[in-house]
Amino acid sequence: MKEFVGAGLALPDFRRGKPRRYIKEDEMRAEKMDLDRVQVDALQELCNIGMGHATTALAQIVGKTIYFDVPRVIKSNISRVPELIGKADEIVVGIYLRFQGPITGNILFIFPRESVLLLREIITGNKSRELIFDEYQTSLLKELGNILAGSYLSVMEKLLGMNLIQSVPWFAFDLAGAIIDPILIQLGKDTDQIVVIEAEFFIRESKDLRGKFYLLPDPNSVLLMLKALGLGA
Amino acid sequence: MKKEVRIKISEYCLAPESEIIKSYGLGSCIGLALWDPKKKIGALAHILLPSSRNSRPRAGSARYASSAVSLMLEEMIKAGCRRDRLVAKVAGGANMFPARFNPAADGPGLNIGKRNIQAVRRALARKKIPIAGQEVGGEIGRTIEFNPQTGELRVYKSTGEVKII
Repeated sequence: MKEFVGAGLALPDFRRGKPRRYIKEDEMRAEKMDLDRVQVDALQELCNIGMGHATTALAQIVGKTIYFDVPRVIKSNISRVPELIGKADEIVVGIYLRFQGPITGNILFIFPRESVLLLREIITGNKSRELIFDEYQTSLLKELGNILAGSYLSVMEKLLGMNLIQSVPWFAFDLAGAIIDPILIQLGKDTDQIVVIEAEFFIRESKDLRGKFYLLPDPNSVLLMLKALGLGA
Repeated sequence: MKKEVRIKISEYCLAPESEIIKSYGLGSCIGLALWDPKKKIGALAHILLPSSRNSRPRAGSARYASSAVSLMLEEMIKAGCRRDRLVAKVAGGANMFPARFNPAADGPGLNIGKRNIQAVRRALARKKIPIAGQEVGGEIGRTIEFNPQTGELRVYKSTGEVKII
């Protein structure tokens, strides 16, 4: 008999009469924090709408249609987060912001090297293949992060009914694992298990322009977010 | 080809001379290597935070500088190493977002990299383990590779340089 295995699906095993769950380990649906399916969906939808606005802003800047994948809500142990972000030893550009208000958390954009070159070419017309981050170029990327995060947060403000203040953006061009370090340190002070909301965006014409968006709410803020959505425990 | 063991954040691992321990993408985290030159046994830890004093999660992991040092020491002594032979090598502790320091918003000493380095040095001094080499601070990420056969800690910087300590 053929066995149907689907990631993230709960399939009953009829032969033995007991339910079996096929859930990828790193997608363990927020078990210790007791997030149920509805709550996970709510967080996913929140990110979905936010990404819609952020990618619209990006589309207006680069003049191309931006697509994004369905956001993933991942409950993960802190030590596994660098693997979720990608290869820990890949050199990427990271733009990082913190937001504060009734809820607090971190927003991180990760752009692979090629995407940064392409973004720079589209925005400034600079066709060089070299990556030198002078003040102008880092400022350009930071501002981009600022605009994207701003449009994302404005959606969260509306949906959650909260005022959120974002910090200035910080920029790093380094190993992906190293960039995520300071954020994990911030989160790791309070807990082992954190919720990562991830979405990938790209343009269809060329695979080269793609980036990843991460929302990492501080541990207590996840429950506050759910409460604001009317799904609190 | 030697067997490679990979450790993640807040993990540590003991290895005999036939193996190599690697840890990828150290930013503000610390990679701490302990080595017994005679037994050729080494251990590597990926430390996230300086201390567990203000932190809730379990202290019994290599997440914190102090608990990592005592855990590694305990395991190494169990494996037949002697405390007076041990030497330490330290890498990491960078400040990844340099402009980040903002005393008004985040309280003093947000430069967690520096605090991590200090905490590891203190923890080592308490156990009287000398530091044989270090490659710490700065604003760069590092990937490290520890070879218990030679005691070499290879530090691959994100700038492309390689430093052996």
